[in-house]
Amino acid sequence: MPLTDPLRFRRLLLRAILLPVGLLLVLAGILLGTVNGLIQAQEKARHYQEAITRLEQVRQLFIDRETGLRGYLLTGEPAFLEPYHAAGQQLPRALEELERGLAGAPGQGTWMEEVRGRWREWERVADAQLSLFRQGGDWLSLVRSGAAKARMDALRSTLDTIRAEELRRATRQGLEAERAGRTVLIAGGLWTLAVGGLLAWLSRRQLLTLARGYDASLAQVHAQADALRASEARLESRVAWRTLELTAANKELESFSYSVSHDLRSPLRAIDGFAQALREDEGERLSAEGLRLLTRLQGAATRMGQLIDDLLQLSRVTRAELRREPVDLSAIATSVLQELRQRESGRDVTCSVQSGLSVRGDPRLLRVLLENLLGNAWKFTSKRSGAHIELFAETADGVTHYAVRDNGVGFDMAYAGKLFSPFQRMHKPSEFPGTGIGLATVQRIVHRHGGDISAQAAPGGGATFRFTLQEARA
Amino acid sequence: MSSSRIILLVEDNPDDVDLTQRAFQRAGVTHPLEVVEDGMDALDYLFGRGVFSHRRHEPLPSLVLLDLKLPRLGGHEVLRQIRADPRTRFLPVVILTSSDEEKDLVESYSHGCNSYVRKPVSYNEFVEAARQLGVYWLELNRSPLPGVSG
Repeated sequence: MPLTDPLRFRRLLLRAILLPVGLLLVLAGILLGTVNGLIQAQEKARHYQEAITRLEQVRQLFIDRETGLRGYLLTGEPAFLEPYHAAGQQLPRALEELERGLAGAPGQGTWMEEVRGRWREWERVADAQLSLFRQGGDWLSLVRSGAAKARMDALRSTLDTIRAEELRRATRQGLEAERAGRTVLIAGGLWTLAVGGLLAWLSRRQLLTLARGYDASLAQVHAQADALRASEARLESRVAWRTLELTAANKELESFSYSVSHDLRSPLRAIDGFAQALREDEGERLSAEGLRLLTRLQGAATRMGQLIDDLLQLSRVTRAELRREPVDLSAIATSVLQELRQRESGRDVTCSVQSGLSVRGDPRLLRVLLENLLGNAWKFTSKRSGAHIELFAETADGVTHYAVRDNGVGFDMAYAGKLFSPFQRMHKPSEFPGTGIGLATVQRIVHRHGGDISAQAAPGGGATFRFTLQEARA
Repeated sequence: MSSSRIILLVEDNPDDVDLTQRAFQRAGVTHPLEVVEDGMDALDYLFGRGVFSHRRHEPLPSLVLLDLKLPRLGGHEVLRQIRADPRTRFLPVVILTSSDEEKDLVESYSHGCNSYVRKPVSYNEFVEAARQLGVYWLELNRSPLPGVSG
């Protein structure tokens, strides 16, 4: 299962953090509870210990009282009575403290009653002894009767009982505390082990889930990349195949053109040549009409030769590899016009070429372009005097337009739709010769440079051809 | 070996052969015109091999007019072999063809042709071309003797 769902991933992550934290909190709560129990048990143990201490205190006070009295009776020294009195004064408070210390013990009330009762009995006997001693009575026989001793022994026995009972309870409480402590240790350890194990197991499971998800995502990414690569390769091979096909088609076209150039012209040469041979060898025997027909025949052959040459040029313009280099358009125009002037030296034509028109393009193709445009201008101004041909540039919206303008016969714009299609002519062959291929060639050259061409003309008002040459952006 | 004043025309089209002969005649070029119809024959003629073995010791022609599109062996290959052999290295060879493909021009000149003339469709222009070729290559131009190394 891929981890493409972020919600799922977040839930997983939250669980991975919340679960351990929760379990640890529970563990901490339990430990706190048990430790608290332990502390309470220790508190109780200390409580019992305190009660026992108070018990010892009381016992000591009783001893002080007994021995103080005995010493006084034996010596008559009042100094012996000091501990007797001090103990007598302290005893009520000590007993109260003992009673408080025994709070919670089941025999507390009975014990304290017994202690106080026996103490009172001993005090009565002690008081009797003391008053007999002071009055000079027979205190000794009272002592000998063992009444005081019996009472003190009973009191001690009660204290011993209480002590034994408290000790027993303290021991039991200590054992309980010890057991609680051990339980805390063992339970805590076990709980930690269990929680640790559980966490380890959960973490492992979640990590595995994550890893599986990651693996799945990775596999998906890999698959997508593979698919992309495959489609790229397919596209590349298709492009390569198309290129191959195009190259083959181009080669075929080239060899076709070559055949046209070479083989189609030969019969024409033969037609013209043999017609001429006929004229020369048999001319005297031919009628005037026969000679005129021979002239027509030769003219047709010449025109077809021109047609083939123009078609070849059109095809070459399409096939030729386009070069991009700096070209001086003005220089080419000047040279083309010079050639035209040489060919027809009788013409009176004013030519003006804007200087410094430099462009980037294919010099050979641009020469063909100007030969055609300027040749047309030259041709269509042939029937007027004061002919004027110009080449200039205009820049509008950052785009440079080059224009060839003449003041020749022009043409009707209504027929201009197919101006740039091959074999389309605007004039009768009897008026102006031509094959109708020149402007098609011009348009192809302009298009191959990434530009556009348009014409503007009026019958008798001359014609202007404007073209752009989109320069290749670096 | 002295100059034979022979013109060798390598041309497979009988119409073109006929017209070329007429053109030279009409242009007043009186040199004998020998004709071979393909590239193999042209080389055999020049080197006196095969059917032309009798020519082994005959002088070489003064001028070869070579068409490019020929059966068996094309004009470019014929020119290459002519230039490769020391005997015919300096032999004046003029390409006379219908093609004005840039590719053909470049290849012909890189193989060492002396001139490249495109046969015009117009017969009158062809006669003029023949006249100029005759005058230039057979009267005006001077070539080193065959076999001279340079």
